[in-house]
This record gives sequence, C-alpha cells and structure tokens, in this order.
Amino acid sequence: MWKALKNIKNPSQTWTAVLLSVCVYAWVLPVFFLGFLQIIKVAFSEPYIQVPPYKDILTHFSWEAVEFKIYLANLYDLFNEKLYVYAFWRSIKIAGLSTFIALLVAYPMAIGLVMMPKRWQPSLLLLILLPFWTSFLLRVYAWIGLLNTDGIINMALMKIGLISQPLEMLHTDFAVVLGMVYCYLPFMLLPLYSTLQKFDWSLIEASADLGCRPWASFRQVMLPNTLSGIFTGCFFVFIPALGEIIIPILLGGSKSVLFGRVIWEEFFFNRDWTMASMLSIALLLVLMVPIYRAQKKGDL
Amino acid sequence: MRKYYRKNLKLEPWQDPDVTPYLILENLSKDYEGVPILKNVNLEIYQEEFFCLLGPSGCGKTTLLRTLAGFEEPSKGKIYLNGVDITRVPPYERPVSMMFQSYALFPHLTVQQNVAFGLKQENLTSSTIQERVEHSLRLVEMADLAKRKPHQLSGGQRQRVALARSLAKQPQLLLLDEPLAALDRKLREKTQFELVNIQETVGGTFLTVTHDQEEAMTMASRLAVMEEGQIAQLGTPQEIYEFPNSRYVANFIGTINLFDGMVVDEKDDHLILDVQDFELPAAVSPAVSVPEGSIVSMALRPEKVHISKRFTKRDYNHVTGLVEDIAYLGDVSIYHVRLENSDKTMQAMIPNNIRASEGKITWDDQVFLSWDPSNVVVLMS
Repeated sequence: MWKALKNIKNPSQTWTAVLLSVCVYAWVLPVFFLGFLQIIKVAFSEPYIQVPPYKDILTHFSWEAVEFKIYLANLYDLFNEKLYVYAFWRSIKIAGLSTFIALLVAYPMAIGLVMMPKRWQPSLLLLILLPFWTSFLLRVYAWIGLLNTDGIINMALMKIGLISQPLEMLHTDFAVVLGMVYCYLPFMLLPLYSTLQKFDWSLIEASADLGCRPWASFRQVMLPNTLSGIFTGCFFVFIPALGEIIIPILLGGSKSVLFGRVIWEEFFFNRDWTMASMLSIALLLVLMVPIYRAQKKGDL
Repeated sequence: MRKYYRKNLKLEPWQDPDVTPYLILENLSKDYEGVPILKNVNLEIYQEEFFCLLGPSGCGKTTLLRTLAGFEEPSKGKIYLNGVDITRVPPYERPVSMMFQSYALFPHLTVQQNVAFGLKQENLTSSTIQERVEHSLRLVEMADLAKRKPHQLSGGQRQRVALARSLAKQPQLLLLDEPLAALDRKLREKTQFELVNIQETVGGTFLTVTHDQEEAMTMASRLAVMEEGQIAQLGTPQEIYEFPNSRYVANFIGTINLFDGMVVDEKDDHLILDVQDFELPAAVSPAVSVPEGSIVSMALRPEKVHISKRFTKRDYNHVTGLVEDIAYLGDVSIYHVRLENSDKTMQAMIPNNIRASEGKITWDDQVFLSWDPSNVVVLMS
C-alpha cells in the first residue's frame, strides 16, 4: 500500500489515499485483528467450567512478577485427535470437490454469458443472481424438500417409473456437495465472467488459424489466459466451503463430520471455547498459505 | 529494386494464358443479417503474387479476408485454392495463415512459443519446430528477443512476431489484415519494403488488406479497389493510378481533379469537351470512343498540371485562376487554384527543386494552368 502511495504525485490525492486507508485500518484493526488476538489467547488458555469457560493466561500480575500459563494440550490434540484430523481431510475433500464441480458448471455458463449480445448480459446475470437474494438458510432448507425420500425429485422419478424405490439422497456427501455447489456458484461465476469479458476472442481465431481444433484452442489459449479468474473463483468457493456448517448440518445429517461443524460443536455443545479457537486458527492458517502464494504469483 | 526485377520477367502471370490462377473466388457473396457485405466477388490471384485489397472501411475487404481464412462462411459462391475447393473447410484445416490486425499474439507465451504454436499443432519433430522457429525469427530479425513476452515488445516488434508466427506455418496463402496500420509512419514505410522482400525470399502468395493507398501502391504486384462489397477495379498499381475506370477509383487513389463536360467534337483522335468551369474547351485523348453529346468526367492528376504566371496563347486545356491555398509538403508544393469562371478549384503539384526561387508563385497570384491532352483520363462512370 505504501508503494502505491509513493506513486501518487498529486498531494491532494495522497491525502485522500491516506484518509481512505486510515478508515480501512480503523475498521480492520479492532474488528478483525484484535478479535483474532483474542482467539489466539483463548486457544492457549486452559478450559475451565465457569463463565467464560477458560482460565486467563495471565494468572498473576504484580510489580514483582508476571505469571502466565500457556496451555498446549489443545495444540497437541489438534494433530493427534483422530476426529479433528479426519474432519480436516474430509473437509478438504468435500470443499475441493465442490469447488471443482462449481468450476465445471460455472465456466461454460460464463462463456455463454459473454457470448450473448452485450445488452442482454446484465439481465441474464441478474437472473442467475436473483435466487441468491433470498435467505441462505431458506435455500438450503428448500433442498431438503427436493432431496428427501418423499421429496419432489424422488416422487417425480418414481412417477415416470425410472426407479421403484426412493433414492437415498439427503444426508449423504452427494447432498452436501450439491448444496455447496449450488450456494457458492455465484462466487465462481462472477470472477470467471469478469475475466472472460476481458478475454480477446481474436486469440481463439488465431489459434484456429494456426491449426487448433476447438478443444485445443480452449485448452491451449483460453484456459491459460483466464487462469486469474479461475484462481479467484476457486478461492471464493473453496474458502467458505471449507468452514461451512449450515450445509453439512442440514443436508449432511449426523454422519457428516466436517471441520466447520466440528468447531461449531466444540463451541456450542462441548462448551470448549479453547479447542474451538485452536481449530479456528488452524483453519485460518491452512487457508492463508494458498492465498499468500497466489498473491505472490500475482494471480489474485 | 522490385520494379526492375519484375520488368525482366517475360510475362506477368495474369497476362500469361498458360498459367492457372492459384486462388479463385467464384461469385462469392456474404450477407450479414440481410445486409449484403460481399456481392458476387470474382477474383483470380496467381502464385507468388503480392495482392492487395484496397478500400475504405466498410467496403467488405476484411470480410473477404476472413472468408478466405475460414472465419466467415460465404452465403454463396466458391473458393478454390490450388485447384481444391476450400469453401467449407474449417480454419484449422486450411493451408492458409492469417496475420491479424491486432496481431493476436498469445500473451501467456514467449515470442518463441508464439511462433512455435502453429507448428506444435502439426505432428512435427521438435528439432524441425526449433529449426523453423529460428528461421522465421531470423527472417523478421527478432531472434534476439525470442524469450520475451508480447507485452515486453514494441508495436513494431509485435508486428514482426505475428508475421513470423504466420510464416513459420509455411502457408500456401498468407493473409495480412491491415498489417501496418498500427505502426507509425516512418516504421510503416520501412516495413512495407521489408514485407515485399520477405515475400520474395519465402516465395509465398500474399494477400493483404489495407485502406492506405500508398501502402497498396508500394507493396502490391496487383491490387483490387473495393467499393461496397464489389471490386471496382483490378490492376497493377500503375494501371490503377494512371487509368482509373471510375470517379470512385480516381478519387480513392491519390488526389485528382475531376470536371464534368459534354463531348462536342472529335478532332484527330482527340475529343473536345465543353467544360462549364473552363473558359476554353478541353481536349482529351480517351482510350475508347465516346459518342458526341454524352456527359463524361475528365480526371487530371495534380502533378500533370502545369502552372505558370505567364500567359501563353492556347486553344485548349488552359484555365485562369487565383492561388487560394498552398500546401508546402517539403518535396512538393500543392497549389489550390480557384478557377476564374467557376467556384471550383484545381490542384497543381510542383516539385520544389529550387529553394526559395525568385518570382515564386504565392497567394492571390493570378496563374495560368495547362495540361497535355494525353494526361487526362476520361471517366464514363
């Protein structure tokens, strides 16, 4: 940011920039940064049955001595408790699969959108985004009605005679992935759409002219030139999908142990704030690595 | 150099009845949403020609080029390349390569990878690819910058890479869409000659599209002037400049003085025209006979008008006027002379071969313009 400030020549512009960034930091510092410090503190505190349910790290403070106790059992559990490790890898798998499917669905959609006449594009985009103006919870609930054994899909399939017994769709990983793809599709679609809008279609013609069949043109020219949109879209889907709790709870049923849900349950059912905090930090760190790398590469 | 070289040839291919055309366009038409873009274009282009399609924007020249590349499907008509009907062949199977006006270089690939791109689509060995990429890059003098990405290149360098990429495919026909339009004037003039030299080196058939008549005149072996989806005139640059067949072509190629007149007499193979704007009748020598009483246009290039401050008695081709404007272009000056008997002006071009001479013609001088009958082109349409 300071580098950007240095490049500004006009002094009045500089002051505008300073003022704006002060506003940003005034928001981020207390709301995010101090909050996060508090979470770190709780993560290394000892759990204790009281309100709030942990002992303060600082046990004694006087002019003679400062005593504090850093509790490391949570850190140990993080790597050794089977449930957490299992939930973590399962979350990665489910979120990764959802992201991949969302990409497969959104990419052709985005191509279709940018190929439409310019004047139709805003309305078509609105049509896609319109369902997302309703409550997130409501939309996930609606899927229960669709996927249930006596839901609309099963009823319809049985009516046509394609199946004789209702399919077990609800409370499976299929339902969780479906819900995630459905809910996070706009986050994939929008970055792809904006990248594809800037895509120079004469490159496709050039590649065809040089001997590429349509699929080769797509793979060798379009895909590498829209990587930034793909990366951004994947992050926008993968990050919330990894910590998602509502979808696995509603669509995944009791067997669906995902990381976000584990945090939620530690916090609300076990009232173990310290473990919940430790898990949150772990999730954040895991997500920061790929974001940081991508930013360094300049993809974001 | 080129012009002398061509003179040594016995016959130009289009004059030789034994040579079959390399590219044939037969009744090619293209409608776009009911609007005709190309109207029954018939064209024959010979091997190793540097052919130029010239016309203002919207005349259909780019559509014609894109049809040849396979990006547009003609509504009617056929395209034959080397005797093969390629009308419905998709672009990736045509032995044709196109250089785009925007160059369309792949931004994610280096110069070298860009040039190799087309070769990798064919099943060539990597050593052949390497060799042909290097050869192409050397041809356009870009071998030193092979590792750069397109955004690190100047406009002129990008143009060269685009050319190298097309040449590396060794196409039977190379299409160039406004190849020099994005370059500045100096570079454009230099590149015109380079393009011609490259064409003579690699020996392919080049078909280029341009709106710049100077570019077309410099590079083309033959050119076609296009007007509203049709070919208005086809010929060598000299033929088109000296003998335009219509007012449109005469106006499009260079500057020309056009006056309408009525044929009143015919005297020892001269036509005598009565031109309202002149005080004396005009004598012209047309290529075809024109019946008396018909209205024709006489076209006269500014460099073929003689301008003088001294009056000489003449019977024909002589007008009096006042110098209204002088365009000093360094090498030549163009005088805009308002004719005495009309509100029209005539342009005369005089080479500035004497620096600041005495008694120079200047603004508001009365001058006398005259010309030779053989320098006038008679236009019927």
